[in-house]
Amino acid sequence: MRIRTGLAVMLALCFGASPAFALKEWYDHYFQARDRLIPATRYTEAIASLREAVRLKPNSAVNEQTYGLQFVDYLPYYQLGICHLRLGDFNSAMRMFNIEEDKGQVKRASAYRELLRLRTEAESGESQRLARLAREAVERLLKEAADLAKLRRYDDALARLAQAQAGAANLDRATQQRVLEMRDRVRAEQRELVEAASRGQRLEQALAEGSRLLDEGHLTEALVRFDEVLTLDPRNARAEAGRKDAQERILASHTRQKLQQRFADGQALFEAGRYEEAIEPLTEAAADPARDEARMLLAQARKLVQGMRAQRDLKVRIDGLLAEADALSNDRKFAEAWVRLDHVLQLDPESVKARERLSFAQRMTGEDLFQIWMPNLPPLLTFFEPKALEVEGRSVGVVGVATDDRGVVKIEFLQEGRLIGQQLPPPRAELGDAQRSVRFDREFQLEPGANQITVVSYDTQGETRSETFRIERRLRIWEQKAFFPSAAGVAFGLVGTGFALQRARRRRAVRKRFNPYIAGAPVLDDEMFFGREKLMARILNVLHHNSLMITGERRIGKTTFLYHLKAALETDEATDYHFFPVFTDLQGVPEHGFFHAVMADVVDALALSPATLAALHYREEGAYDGRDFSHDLQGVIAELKTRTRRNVKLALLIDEVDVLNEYSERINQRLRGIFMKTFSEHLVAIMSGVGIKRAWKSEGSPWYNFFDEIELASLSREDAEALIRRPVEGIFRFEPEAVESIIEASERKPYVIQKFCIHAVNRMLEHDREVVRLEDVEAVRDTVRFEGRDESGQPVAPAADRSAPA
Amino acid sequence: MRNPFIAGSWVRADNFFGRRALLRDVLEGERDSLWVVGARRLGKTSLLKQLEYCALQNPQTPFVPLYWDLQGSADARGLADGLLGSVEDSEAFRRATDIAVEDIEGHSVADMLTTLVRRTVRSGWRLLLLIDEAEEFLTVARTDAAVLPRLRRVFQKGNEVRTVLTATRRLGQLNELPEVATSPFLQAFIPALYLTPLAPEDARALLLRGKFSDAEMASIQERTANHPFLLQLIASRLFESRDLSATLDQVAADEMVANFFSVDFQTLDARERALLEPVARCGEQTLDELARAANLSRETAQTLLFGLKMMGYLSEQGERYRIGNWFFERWLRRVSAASEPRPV
Repeated sequence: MRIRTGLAVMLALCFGASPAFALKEWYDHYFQARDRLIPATRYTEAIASLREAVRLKPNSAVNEQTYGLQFVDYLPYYQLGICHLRLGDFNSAMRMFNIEEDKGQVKRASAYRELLRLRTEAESGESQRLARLAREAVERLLKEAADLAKLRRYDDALARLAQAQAGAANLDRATQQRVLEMRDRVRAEQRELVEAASRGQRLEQALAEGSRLLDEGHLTEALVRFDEVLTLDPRNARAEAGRKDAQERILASHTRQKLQQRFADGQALFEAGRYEEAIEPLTEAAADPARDEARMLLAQARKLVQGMRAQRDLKVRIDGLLAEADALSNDRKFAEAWVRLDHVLQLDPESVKARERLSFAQRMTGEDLFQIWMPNLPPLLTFFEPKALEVEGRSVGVVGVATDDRGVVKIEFLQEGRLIGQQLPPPRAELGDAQRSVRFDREFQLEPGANQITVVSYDTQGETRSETFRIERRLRIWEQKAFFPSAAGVAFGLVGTGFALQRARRRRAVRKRFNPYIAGAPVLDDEMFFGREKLMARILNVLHHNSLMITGERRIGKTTFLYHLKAALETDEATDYHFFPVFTDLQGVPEHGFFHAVMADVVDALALSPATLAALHYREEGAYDGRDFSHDLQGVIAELKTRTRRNVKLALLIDEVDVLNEYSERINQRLRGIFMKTFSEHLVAIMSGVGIKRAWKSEGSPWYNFFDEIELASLSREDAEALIRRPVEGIFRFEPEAVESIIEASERKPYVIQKFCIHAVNRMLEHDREVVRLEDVEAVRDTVRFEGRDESGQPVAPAADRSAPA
Repeated sequence: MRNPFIAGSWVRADNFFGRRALLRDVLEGERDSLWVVGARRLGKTSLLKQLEYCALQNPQTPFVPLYWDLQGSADARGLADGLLGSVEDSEAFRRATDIAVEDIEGHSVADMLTTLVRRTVRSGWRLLLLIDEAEEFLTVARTDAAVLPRLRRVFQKGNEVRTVLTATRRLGQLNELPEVATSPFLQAFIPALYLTPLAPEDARALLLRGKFSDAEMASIQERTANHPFLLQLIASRLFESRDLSATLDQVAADEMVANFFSVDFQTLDARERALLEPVARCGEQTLDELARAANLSRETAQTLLFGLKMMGYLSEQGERYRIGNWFFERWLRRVSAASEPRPV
């Protein structure tokens, strides 16, 4: 019995032990999280399991083999995103979804659409959370401001309201309005109180001084003070009595001549611009009720002096407020600084200095609030490579992505603790702030043995994240001492075998009549696409902002170019723009079917969701006009925005655009109208054709105005030669004279070059040769000339026969 | 860095440069009916897009903007379709006024506009109606003259709506059409505001995006006289080639640019063209010389020359007039030479 009990306990211990004993492989952790813990809503435990899986296998994979013939879509970051999302940690969820998307594998999996949906959910959840926090903060700040205003602590109340204003920036208009109204109310109360206090103080001071001066017998100065009081309070009885007393005493003690003299003194000072000094003699002279001119001049002088004093006081006040604002900003009291700068702008609305500082204080107030609601976290570093920590090569690539909610400003690369390079990501083109996700790809040279590599990422607020790898470099076989003697022998053998193989390959090519040139159909093969690299780069460089019209004569390679441009756009990941190219051929499309034809290709190319498709006006049959097209494009763009975090650009590549020349101007105008819509910021068109009909009868702008035109010209000499030689390189050869002849006769037009090459190679094969000679080229001239005509019989190879009449 | 210049498409926000006074006049001024007159490609659409953007970004504004492109409308039905499309395109407008496309579908264009104004006002806003390609009213007047007086009544609803039209000088012909029998359609929109080339400092700010040298920027500004389309086109091409003289030659010979001048030139009336041609042929001219050459009174010539100067066709140095920019001058000289009778 004891033995059986002991066995049972051991078995229980074995099976009930921590999963760490039972789980060994990455997929065990992954399956445990995905299939058991997440469905059971045990998200915290699922996160621990997924982290363990990521530790063992950091890279996502689709159709990854687990055990036996079991395959799984291994998307640990996606699963981590789900866990964080369900725990309400939206920010972490978004980070995880972004990392999964950056790794790229998920785009091939059925879970991708769900990832996009969940990321939108996380974004929306985060926005709602921030909005809720903002709303709570605004309400609290409004209440605090009201309490402070009651206590007449107006600057403190206004500082709270400044914070509330920053917090309400992304809330509804009504809340913003409430904040602004309360701010205006508090400002008005403060202004009234300050003005009343200042007026009372000045009045009391002037009255006291006037009385003192009267008592001391300084009659004129006393009169000036009483006048000041009466300016502030015209019915002040004490001032009126004092003024009357002073006036009578001046009159009694002054002769008419003396008053006349005082007036003359005052007038002279006034005219000399010494207004302040003029006040005293003019006041004395004005004591005589009969002297109107003295009173008028005195009033003028007072007004000017008051203005000057006010300006002086204003400047002192403004300087004081600016100094206070600076000190407060230095103490990071940005809301308080905001209030001072607001005061400055009320006193001097033109103050550029205050406006600049206010803008900074406002931004920092907002950031401080944001910091409370969403504390800054260090950046995340996720690595796709190196895949192994032991390598044989002389170098290793470190590839990954740095993400941060505030933005990544710098990535440093260190080897053995020494800085060997850094990456400074440019700001986001549209918003001008730091990129949230930055891909890096750095090659490190390795020394034999152990190497220490470190990557450090910095965010906008100086938070860092550092990851270090210890990579062991093993010596490759040829780097070892015994390699060269043994390799020499093997090399001789290989050269001989290679020579024999090439010979056999050539003979087989002759037997099978190998001829890789293409003339007529678009050239889709990258290997056969020559000479357009610069143009392609130029177009990729401007396409994010500009629609283009590619013109060129028939058969110059426009369609081929559009196909390759489409391929380039599909894989263009170098910028903030995500292009979704759609190819449309207008050949044979009637005017009434134009918009329908383009939308049909959009629908075919983009695999839209059923929900989007159902909302489109587009149906396979039925009338469809420019307005329908505009409506549908908005729906399509809305869906594309859910597929990427980058800026969406739907690129319409429209071939055979000459058809538009046959349409009425109205259709062309409708097309232009599409590009005037707001959503056209997400739309570019690349049209190609022989040329645009430029005759324009309508009142408005020509429809083609918004295109920048680019001409597709003949190939350069080097590219033409490459097109002749490279497709058969290693198999056949062209004699230099044959190449020259083709280049000259074809005028370097790719279609004509290929025609020559097809026929010349065929002729060479007929003669059982492996070298194309001048005689082959000369012999096929007539054939090329005959075939080089388009449907209308117009030649597309004008120089195919030098002897032909012009 | 990708090419930051935009030649052809409209621009707004960070890509929009200058025009601060004009924006202020529209958004903060007193007039509720404005006609912004400008030559082709001088930035009329961009101005409207920027006005729309400013109004949407400013929480203090009383306006809710609606951009309405008239091109291709042709008649009352077309105008209504275009207006529906505008409402459909502007989610901000629909939200602010709580209006759906279905609420106005099937109405005449005047009723549609009346409803939009009413709903805008009811929501506590004023309508900022931004009408692009207003020359289309000429076509509409010829096919459906009755609609214009009805629209005019809505456009001039005082405080409820501020209407901004952009068009070339051709729109002025509207008041002369016999089909428009009632009081002149443009009465409240006159005097027009001129859309001029960019101010030198704004043109320079635009060019700074290309990290060009000071000498290159000065040369571009001098050759283009700060014409925004030419600035963007040359800057875009220079950004790619980094060879200014080749770029200038290429643009001067570009058929697209020649066509632009040609179409633009056609928007001027015969008297304006008659004033430009002698300047192209003989170089700088005085007012009196031009009035004589074009067979116009001094006063008429002076008025027309003012408009041509404001739109960048001419520039004035002292008392003499010369062609506004180097490219236009080359094109006009070529065309004038080709049209001169040849000696037998």
